[in-house]
Formats: sequence, structure tokens, C-alpha cells
Amino acid sequence: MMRIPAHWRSKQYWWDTGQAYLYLLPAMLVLGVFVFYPFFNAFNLSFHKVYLVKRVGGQLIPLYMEYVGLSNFTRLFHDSIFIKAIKQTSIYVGVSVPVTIGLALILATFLNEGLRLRPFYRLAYFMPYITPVVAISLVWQWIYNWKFGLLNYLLGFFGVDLINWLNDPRFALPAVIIMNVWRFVGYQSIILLAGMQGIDKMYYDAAKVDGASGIQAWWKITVPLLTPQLFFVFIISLIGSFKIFEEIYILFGTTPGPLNSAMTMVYYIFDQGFQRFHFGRAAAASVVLFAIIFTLTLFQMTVTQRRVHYER
Amino acid sequence: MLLPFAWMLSTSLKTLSEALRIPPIWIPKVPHWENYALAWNAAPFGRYFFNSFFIAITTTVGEVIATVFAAYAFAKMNFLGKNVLFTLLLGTLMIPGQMLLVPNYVTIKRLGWYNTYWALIIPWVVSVFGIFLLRQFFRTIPDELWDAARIDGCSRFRFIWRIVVPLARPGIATVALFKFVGSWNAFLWVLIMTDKVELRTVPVGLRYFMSDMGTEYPLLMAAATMAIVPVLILFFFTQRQFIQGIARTGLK
Amino acid sequence: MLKRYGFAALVALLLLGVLAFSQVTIDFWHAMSKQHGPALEALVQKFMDENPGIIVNLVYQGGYGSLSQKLIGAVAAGEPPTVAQQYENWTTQWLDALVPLEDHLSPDVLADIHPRFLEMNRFNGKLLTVPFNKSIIVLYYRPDLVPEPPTTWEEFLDLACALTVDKDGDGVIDQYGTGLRPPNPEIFLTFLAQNEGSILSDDWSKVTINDERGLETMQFMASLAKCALVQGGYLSDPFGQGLIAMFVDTSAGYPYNLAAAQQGGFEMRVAKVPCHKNCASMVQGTNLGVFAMNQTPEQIDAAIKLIEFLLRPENTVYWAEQTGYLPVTMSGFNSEEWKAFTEANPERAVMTEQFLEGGFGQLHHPVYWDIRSVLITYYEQVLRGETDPKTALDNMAAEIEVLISE
Repeated sequence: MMRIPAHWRSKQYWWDTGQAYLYLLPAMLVLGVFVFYPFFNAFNLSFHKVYLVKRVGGQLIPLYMEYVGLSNFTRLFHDSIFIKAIKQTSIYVGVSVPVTIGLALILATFLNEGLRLRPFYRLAYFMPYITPVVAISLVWQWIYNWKFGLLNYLLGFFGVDLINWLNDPRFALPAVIIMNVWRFVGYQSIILLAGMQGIDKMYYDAAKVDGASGIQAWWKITVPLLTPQLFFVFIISLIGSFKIFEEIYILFGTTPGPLNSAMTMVYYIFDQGFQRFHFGRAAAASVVLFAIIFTLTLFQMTVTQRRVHYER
Repeated sequence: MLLPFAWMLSTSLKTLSEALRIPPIWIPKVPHWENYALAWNAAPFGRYFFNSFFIAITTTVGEVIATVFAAYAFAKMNFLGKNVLFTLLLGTLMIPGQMLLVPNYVTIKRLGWYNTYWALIIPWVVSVFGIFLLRQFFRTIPDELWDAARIDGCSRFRFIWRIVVPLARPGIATVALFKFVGSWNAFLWVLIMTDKVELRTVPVGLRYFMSDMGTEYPLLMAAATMAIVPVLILFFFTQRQFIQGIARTGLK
Repeated sequence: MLKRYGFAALVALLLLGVLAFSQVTIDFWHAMSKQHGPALEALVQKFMDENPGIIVNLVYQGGYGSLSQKLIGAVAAGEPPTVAQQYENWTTQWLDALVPLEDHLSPDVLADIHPRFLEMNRFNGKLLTVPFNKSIIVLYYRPDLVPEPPTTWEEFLDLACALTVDKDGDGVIDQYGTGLRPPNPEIFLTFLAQNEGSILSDDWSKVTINDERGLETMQFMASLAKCALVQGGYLSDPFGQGLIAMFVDTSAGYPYNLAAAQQGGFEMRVAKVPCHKNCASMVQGTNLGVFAMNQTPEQIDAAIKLIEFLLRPENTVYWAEQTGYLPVTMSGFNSEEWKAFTEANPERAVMTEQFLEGGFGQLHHPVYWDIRSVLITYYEQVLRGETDPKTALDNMAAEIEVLISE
């Protein structure tokens, strides 16, 4: 006979279960309807073609779904724009994540060297992160202006010719990268700084006794002991950067850049779903996005788990 | 770091011809504060701000309530399926929101919530991060407190409301803060789930303002400034909560 | 005496009651803004004056992009308006939801619609929409730089290249013979039709865009691009700044181009598009459709009346005069008023002639909008000199192949 867990016998347990479910009800209900259900529905949708309206029998049925198997997926990989979206998203991620973290690390190191974090500085570093993306993109759209933009003017001092950031396919993606590095570097450096300040001074004292230079100390002590924060920042940066859309939508005036040069995976999903109303195909693209993110996260978690040094 | 914001402010106080000057002027001769009034009147910003505030506040209140109870259940109660549900919760972090846009659009349409405040509030009343954060907080509250209260005849509900919540005020404040800012900044969801001018929030209103105003840069910058100011003010007064909240999620 | 008046009053009240009861309200969604909006409102008001029992709720839904999104959302929710402007590629998304107009419009009205337009508004053989604000593609040019507008492809190419000059010898071209816009493949499609080419075979079973005729056309575009200013934005700006001598564009842009020319201080004229094997030119602009979904029979009747009103010859002429679009009825084209108007406004005569000679519409394939996207992608590559015509066309054809293989 199977052993029944001891606590199942207590009346308190069942009373608690009932109450717990009551407490969980609102949260779980919302999550169920707006997260779990659509998650599975996305898979379902990806195997269908959705007609805006179809006459079936004598009835006009809106959002009529027709099973089409894997054709949405095969079509995706025949779409040169989808391939482009994957490529460009990868470039964006591959460049902006390391660059942002690298800069944030350097920034945090300098901040750690003595500048006290007064409220004003904190505001400065956080502003780009907490302000609405639309407003930021709007401002940067003006900064990137070909003739009158601030950036081209400043670059002029270094002898750089006018760059048409927003209309030249070569510079569209870099424009997005630059803006987002600016947006996230402050926030990330605050996190890294918090981590740095939590490192026990005794490590540094010991290193000094051993005659280690500042840089050696930094490389051998600070960075390794910072790995929990670095890992955290890396993960959220990675996943977050796969999802960029708003910035591009606003910067380029609701087009994915000149010659689709700023087309990303989420933009593709948005365009297919909400500008062309190919719901099935948009769902298929989002499943592919999920697969990529899921795989990457799993990979990162298993590989880097070993390299992350927690103090305890 | 703050250069773009300074430039934004500077441009918002110029006339159009001053804005289009090369080399650029930093401080206009006469600050044209009326640009703000002009921008405000050129689009129903009053409505946009009302919507943003209304939605952000109701969402935050709803979230605090739902999250407090859910977090407490996970932190302090033993019940059937606790681990399963918690793992499910963890799982949702893996799901990119963009994957859920299309199915949610269909759901919202079928519920008849399209172009209503319901669509903009209810789905956002739960934050898994919030549940995690508060759960951490609640775990630090000693069990003896509940035992003592129970002996005194206090119902669990009252216990949570009267004792746990005040103790966890910093955590709750953080959760509420993040939700408010997140709601204020929300763009894509609002864009997709509504198409009526009366329902636009500030970010969405700003986007339409951009396409209406074309190249009226000073007005555009004024509008951008107005969109940013509320969040800025909020941040200035609640910095500590923000930083603590972020730091907390950073340290496992 | 009181009795008589009392009786009259009672009858009047009854009539009023009946009228109120029989008052029908229909929604008309459109995208006609500042310049064209007032003309539409005037027409609708006149209609309502003639039909006191009908109220037309004219709703401006923003630009075409916004209107299409709203319509799609409304159809998906099962609640479209009664009447709406629509492009053919939107119509193909909700064919089932529209009223087949041949069953309702009077034969006189139907017979008066220009046959070319009738063709463009037939879907699977059924007439589901009627033409409304239609434009045609023409050639805009500066008589001071182009004394005689080109009439063939060769002339156009030669002239464009002769006019592409570096005036001050600084290595930067100051004036282009013409301008081309990648997001506007309708120009390419016009030339393709002139070369008797097409995107798909007549039965839609095969992709023909990369055959000989398509290749010749794309090669022509590539050659033209060498002497053209290629940009995404509208060409009226560079035209006004003196950067372009002539360009092919929609007649709907006439007021903007004219304003640019006036700002630039030079004259602008309109001519037919240079021809090749024929003088085809693509028709753009929207049509009107009546939704059957979620409408009462009274509303549908009211909508039909509105359509018939708008298709009255004098109204089509009024609309065309006020807006710059074309009259859509034959009587309209042949009317004295239109003849007089085109004499006073020669560019309208050109537009009329261009349409009558070779106007054709969008492909009615359900995935045409996606095909158009593919077209734009590769068309842009050719225009910017990044790919040769043959490779671009073959790639294009491969993708279109996948799109139509439903």
C-alpha cells in the first residue's frame, strides 16, 4: 500500500489548501487566461491559417481557423525577410550584449573608485532605463537626423561625414545598437556596482599583502566574485535584446528600417500579426522565437552555472 | 549620459528655425515655454495622461492585492500542488511576451474587451517577479508571529492584512513601484488592444503625435519631455526602493 | 374647424412616427482627410437631404493604414460598418462578408460604370465593390528642362541620362533625369504591363514575373536607376528642390507636386507615361464596398441608395473636379462639364486619356499584399544597384511561388 504523506492526514492541511487556492485564485486566473492559455494557443495557431471571415454554411464566421499542418513553418524559412530578421536579431544581440556589459563593468569599476553615488547621479544612470521607450526613441530620432542631428554635428568634429543614420541600410542597425547601449549601460552598471560593493574588503587586503597590482586584483578578485551579478545582467540582457521592437518601430517611423535593415524577429511577428493579419504565420514565428530563447537560456544556465562563484 | 535629455529639453524651448540651425544652439535666446502649451493642445494629452494614470494606479492596486496573497500562500502555507504550481510560475519567465500577443489579441476580442480599460488592466494585474520578491520577503517573517496571532483568534486573512503587509512594506513598495512604471511605459499592448483615441495612453498618444506633427521638432521634444516627467518625479522620490528592488533581484 | 386641424395634426404625428421608425442609420468609414474630406461631406449631406429617412454616419478613420487596421479589427469582431473605402487587397480578405452588388444596383447604374473599373472590382466573377477615388499613373515633367516629353522607353531612358548632370563639376550629381521610389512598385508594374508581362499566369497557377518580358522590364528599370534619384520618400520634395527633371508618379500626387514646383519657381506639366508595346498605366485608389455582416436589410438598402447616388454622373464629376481623382462613370467622362473642365485643366485631360487608354488595377490574388512586399524587397535591390535584374527576379519568383502555393 502506498504511504500517504503524514500531512495529508491533518485537517489543517486540507483547510490550508482550500484557503491557499483562494488566495492564489486571482493571480492564477489571470496567469491562466493571459499566459498559459495563450502559450498553448500560440502553438495551436501556428498550425492553422486564420481567415478574417469565412462563409460556412449560411453563416459568416469571423476568425475562422483552418488546419494547415507545418506549412506556416516551411513558409517562414522560405521568407527572405524572416531569415533576415533572424540574422539581424542575432547581430544585434551579439554586439549589444557584450558591449553593454563591458561598458557597464568599466563604468562600475570607476564608480567604485570613490565617487559617492548621490541621488543626482543615480537619477542620471537610471533615467534612460525607466523612461518610456517611445519618448527615448523620439528624442534619438531627432539626434540621428541627417542634417540637423546632434550626433552628426558632434561627429563632424572628428572629421566624420554626415551619416544618414535612419535612411542608410548600413547604419540602421548600428543606430539601434548605440541607442540601446546608452539606455541600458547605466542600469547595468548600478547592479554591478552594488555587487562590487558587496565584496568583502579582506580579499583586497590579502591581495595587497601579496603584492598584487590594481589590475590584477580587479581581474582575479572583482570579476570572479562579481559573477552572480554578471550572470544576471547577461541573462536579462540576452533575453531582453531578443525582444526589441518598440525602439525600431518608433525610430524608423513604423517601418523596419530602410531595406528592412532593422527587421527583427519581434518586428516580424508584429508585422505579420498586426499589420498583415496573418495570425497563423505570426504565431509560427513566435514559436520559433520561443524555441531560440528557451534553448539559449537552458544552454546558458547549464554552462555558466559552473562558472558562477557564490560566496557561500 | 544625460546629453540626449538635455538636448531634448533644449530643443523643446526653441522655435522651429532655431532648432534647424547648424551649428546647433544649446540655449535659445528666449525660452519658448509656450511650446509645451502648444503641444498639449495639439493632441488630447489631457486624456492620454488621465488614461495612463488611471490604468497605472488601478493596475498597481490590483497587483498588490493579488500578489500579496499569492506570495503569502507560497511563502507560508503548505498545500496540495504547491511545488507544481511554483514550478509553473517559474516556467512563465521563459515565455517571451511577444509569443502571447496574437493569441491574447484573439482572446481579448472574443471577451469583448477590445477597446476597453479591462484589456489594459486585468492582464497586467499579476507579476511573477512580484510574487517571487514578496515571497522572499514573507519568508523572513517568523512563523511564531502567526502562531501567536492564531491563538489570539485572528483569522489568516486579518493576519495578512494587519500584520504581514505592514512588515513587508518596503517589498510591497518596490513591487508597486515597478508595476506603476511598467504600466506607464507600456506601449505595444496598448497599441494592439485598442484603436480609439479616447483610450490612448501617453506612449501611444506620443507615437500618433509624432506621425501628426511630422517635423515640428520643438513640439515633439516638448511632448517627449512631458511624457517623461511623471516617471522622473516618481523616481526621484522613491529612488531607494527602486535601487533596492533591482539589487535584490540581482543577488540570488 | 378644430376637428379638421386636429385631424391634420394627428396624421402629421403619425407620419412623423412612421418616418422616425423608418429612419435608418448607416456607418461610412473613410480615409479622406483635409483636402478631400469636405467634398465627401458635401456629397453625403446632399444625399441625406434627398433621403430624409437615412442618416449616414461619416467616420474619418485616419489614413489608409489606420483604416485598414480598423476594418480588419471590426470584421474580426463581426461588426464592420455598412460602407467602407477599401483597396482590392483588403477586399480579398473579407470577400464573403460583402454584398454582391450586381444583385442590388440598378442595371442603368451598372452599365454606366466604366468597364475597366468594373473589371477591377470583380472578385471571382462577382462585383463586390464599386470604384470611388481612383487615380492613374502619369509623367510629371519640367518644360524648361524637357521641351518634349518622351513617349517611348528609349526616349525616356536617353532623355533621363542626358539630363543627369554634375553641373558644377564637383563629382556630385546635382540634377537627375528622373526619380524612383522602391516602396512604389506600381511604377515597375506599369512598365511590366506595357511590356505585356505579368506577375502570375492568367489562371494564377504559375509565376511569370521572371520570364523574358519581366526581365526586359527589370533591365529597363536598372538602366533607368543609373540616371535616377533613388529614395524612399515622396519625390515631390527633391523635384521642388530642382533635383529631378521628370518622374513617373500617381495623379493623386498632382497637388503636392504642383506646390513643390511653384516653390521651386518652375513650371510643371503632365504627360502620359512613356509607352512600350502598349500604353498601360496602373490605377490606384480605393473602392466602396457594402458589408452584409451585421447589417439589417434596411441598412443594406440605404447603403445601395448611397452608392447609386455617388455613382450619378454629375456627382462623379463633382467628386473628380474637387479632388483630382477620376470620374468613374462613362456618362461622367463624356459629360459636357467634364469636357469643359479638362479643357481648362489640361493635366486632367492627360489623366483621363491615360486611364481610358490603358488603366488597369491590382492583381486580385488573396496574397497580393505579400507578393507586393516581396516585389518591393527585390525591386529596391535592383534600383540601388545591389543585385542584377535576373538574380533579383529569380529570387522574387521563388518566394512568390511559395506564397501562392496555398
